[in-house]
Amino acid sequence: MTTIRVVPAVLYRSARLVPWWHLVLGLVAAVALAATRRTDYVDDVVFGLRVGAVALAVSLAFVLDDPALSVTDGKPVPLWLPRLARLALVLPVPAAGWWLLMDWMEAEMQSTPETAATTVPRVALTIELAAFVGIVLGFAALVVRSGREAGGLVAAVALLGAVVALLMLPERWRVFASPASPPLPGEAPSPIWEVWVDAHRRWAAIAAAGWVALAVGVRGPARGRLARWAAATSGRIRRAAP
Amino acid sequence: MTTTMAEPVAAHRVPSRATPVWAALARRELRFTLRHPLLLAGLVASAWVLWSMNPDQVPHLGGFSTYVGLGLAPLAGGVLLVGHLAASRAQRHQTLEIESTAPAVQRARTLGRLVGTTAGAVLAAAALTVAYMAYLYLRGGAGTPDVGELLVGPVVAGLATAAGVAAGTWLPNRFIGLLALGVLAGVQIWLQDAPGTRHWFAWWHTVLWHPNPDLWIRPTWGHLGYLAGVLAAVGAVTMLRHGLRPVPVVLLAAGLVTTAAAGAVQARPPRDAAVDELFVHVEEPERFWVTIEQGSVTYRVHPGYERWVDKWDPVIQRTLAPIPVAQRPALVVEERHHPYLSQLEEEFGYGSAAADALGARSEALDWAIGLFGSGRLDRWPIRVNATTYLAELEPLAVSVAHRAAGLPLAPVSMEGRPFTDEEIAAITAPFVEEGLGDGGLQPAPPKATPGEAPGSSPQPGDRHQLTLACSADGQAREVVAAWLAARASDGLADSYRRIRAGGPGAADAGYGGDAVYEYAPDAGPAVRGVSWASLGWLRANPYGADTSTAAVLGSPTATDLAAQLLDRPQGEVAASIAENWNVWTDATTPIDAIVDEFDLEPAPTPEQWLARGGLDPAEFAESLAAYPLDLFEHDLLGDQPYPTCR
Repeated sequence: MTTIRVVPAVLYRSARLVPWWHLVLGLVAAVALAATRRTDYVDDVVFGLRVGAVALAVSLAFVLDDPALSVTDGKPVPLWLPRLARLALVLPVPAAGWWLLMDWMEAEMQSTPETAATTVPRVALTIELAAFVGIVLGFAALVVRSGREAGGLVAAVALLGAVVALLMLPERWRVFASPASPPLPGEAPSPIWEVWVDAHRRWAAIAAAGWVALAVGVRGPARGRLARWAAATSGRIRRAAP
Repeated sequence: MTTTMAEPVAAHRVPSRATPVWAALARRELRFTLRHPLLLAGLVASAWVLWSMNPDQVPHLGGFSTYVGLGLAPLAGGVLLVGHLAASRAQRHQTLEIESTAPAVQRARTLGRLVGTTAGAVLAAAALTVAYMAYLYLRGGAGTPDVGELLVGPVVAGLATAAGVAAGTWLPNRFIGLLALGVLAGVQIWLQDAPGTRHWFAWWHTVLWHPNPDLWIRPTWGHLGYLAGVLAAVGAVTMLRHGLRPVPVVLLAAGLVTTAAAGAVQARPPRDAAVDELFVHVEEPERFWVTIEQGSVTYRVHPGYERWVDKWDPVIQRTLAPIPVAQRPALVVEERHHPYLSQLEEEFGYGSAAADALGARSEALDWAIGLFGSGRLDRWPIRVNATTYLAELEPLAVSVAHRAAGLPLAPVSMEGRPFTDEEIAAITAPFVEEGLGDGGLQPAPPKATPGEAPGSSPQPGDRHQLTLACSADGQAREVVAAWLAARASDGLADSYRRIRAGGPGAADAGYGGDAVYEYAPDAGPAVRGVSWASLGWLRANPYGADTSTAAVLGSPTATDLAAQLLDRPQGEVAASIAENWNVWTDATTPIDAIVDEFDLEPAPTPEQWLARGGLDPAEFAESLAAYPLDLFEHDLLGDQPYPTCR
């Protein structure tokens, strides 16, 4: 009950601490990068949106950083609450920006008669965005959980590294598939469509792993022997177990 | 009492008075940079990217040099962040006050960081580049590395680091480094596929698929000048953080001028002399070839490619081994440079003056080389593309076996007679392309005037009575040729066995391409067809590549019987074939003779081929009727049989 009562205050404090300008710059970068591929060719559009999605995800890397953690250690709320409050405040911004970006890209693609009926594969690309965000927030949360005050840079680098690694996956595990049209009713799915669907099953698995890591990471500091050792050896702040 | 002198405490190395402070700081920053985890991670990622690019291709050191820019991209990203972290270190660690007590002005500290981190990045990138070239050489790489292309990678890494330092110096915030990375990546993404010559303003320009890089015209040094100009300008902008001092201002001006001038140079059309040189390479390769004689084989290769002879020769010798020495053909293997002439237009802009100037000349040559390069009209030496893939060793074995067995090399007319030189010249004239079409087969042509050789006076749009292949189906020598090739190549033997066991099913699984296809004729509904040629021994190699012996159709019968021969004791088969070599390679020796001699199963009928592929013959009535033609060929030619190889 106490926890619920402090939610408005936590939201207010979190809103002031969130690095909003990161999000704004991230959105600008996403739009600028996607715009380089704003054509009527669906492969180009998907590429541009993927690059934009990475930019949006990177802009979220610093959301869980809390330089004041050591001095606000004694506040009477569980650690996960302010972190969740930040996420609740922040995530709608890139989500809305993402949807508008897809609208904008689709409008250009549909501007020529030949591609007037072509649409952006919104659900599939949103799963990819969820995977990117899951990776970056999952890493950030795990780093913060280990006792660091700031894990944003590590998370951003981890995301970029993960993107490179995913790009280099062998053909049979490919995740960056080319967009394909779904089969018409009664028709057998084409091989390209099957590759696309398989790739997004993998994306969904990556997203799930990332968001699970986030859920684990926001709970608070790690208490295991390994975490204690890591915190002690790296000189990070240490929190007493409640 | 004993007094022990303590060992003197090792003093920190103090720079001599002659060493400027910034240089001492740069050395320290260089060590930090080279040990930074982000640099090491970038090196690993870059090595991985470079290793992954065309790993199944025999490397051409010149062509693969262009991969370095792209391959070092992860390293460039890593060192950009390293540079940014170095520049914002005091801010991040909240040690600005401590730093300000050090006996060095801020300007010297910034210069030290800039020079140290940039040098570290360039050194790491250069080391990886050298290691990459060494690895390619050990993998059998030939040709000459392109130093200009190789330098692009380290210069881009240095540029990225300088950008990171500049961003961190002006805006020491963690996020700004990532933003700078996004800006540099955005420039690359935006410009790399830009039309005209704008793509040269991207940081690097990699061409992953190319017939031959030796014949490129790329403004490599102009591009390097452009990158160096940008690097100088970024460095100057970094130093301008500490005031408008003369050196940074001059450096900025020089950098901008260099960027503009080199940018103009790299966007300039190719010089006529360079284009002429390229055409000479293609049209008169004999001026450049080195000749190497090995037994009955003469190799003609460009300088730098001699070591590839060691790759080709074992395949050829294995193919020739069962043949009596006196009967072995004298072979000539030429290593050809295929130009990527359409690349010139991509590099310098479609519709530009340069593209117009290249015009008909490049189109004509490109087309003629394309036709000759595919081997369809190859009557002379075996031609090996300079960018030979490992898989091309199999077509090489096929080419040798084809010649050894005495199968025709020249294309033949529908009447079954070889074309004359004049007709070949006419056929290869560029304006006949429309008349030849994709497969080289055309419907019945206008009747030639009596006494006039078909194809001797081609006109634009003419359709010629032309086939490029004869059929040796039913001749024992075709089986001998297929067996010779397959015993020299495990990949080929494997594909023949798979074709024998699975018919079109095996061909669909990657041997010979898609054997089953949908065919939509001009009139009537679409039907399913079988590409019989993809079961034939000439195309049944793992990559389905045409060989340079396509003057013969290549029957599935020979594939099947050769696969059976491979499963007989090879010593006995070789001895028997060598003993009666002249008989087996005589055009009049029927296939039944070889079936009887080696107690082989009769070759399957077309219906049996379908059954082996798990296909219902009732669904392929049209294709069965068209055997051995594909359905589109049958529509063009009607019931005319292929002429018999003589």
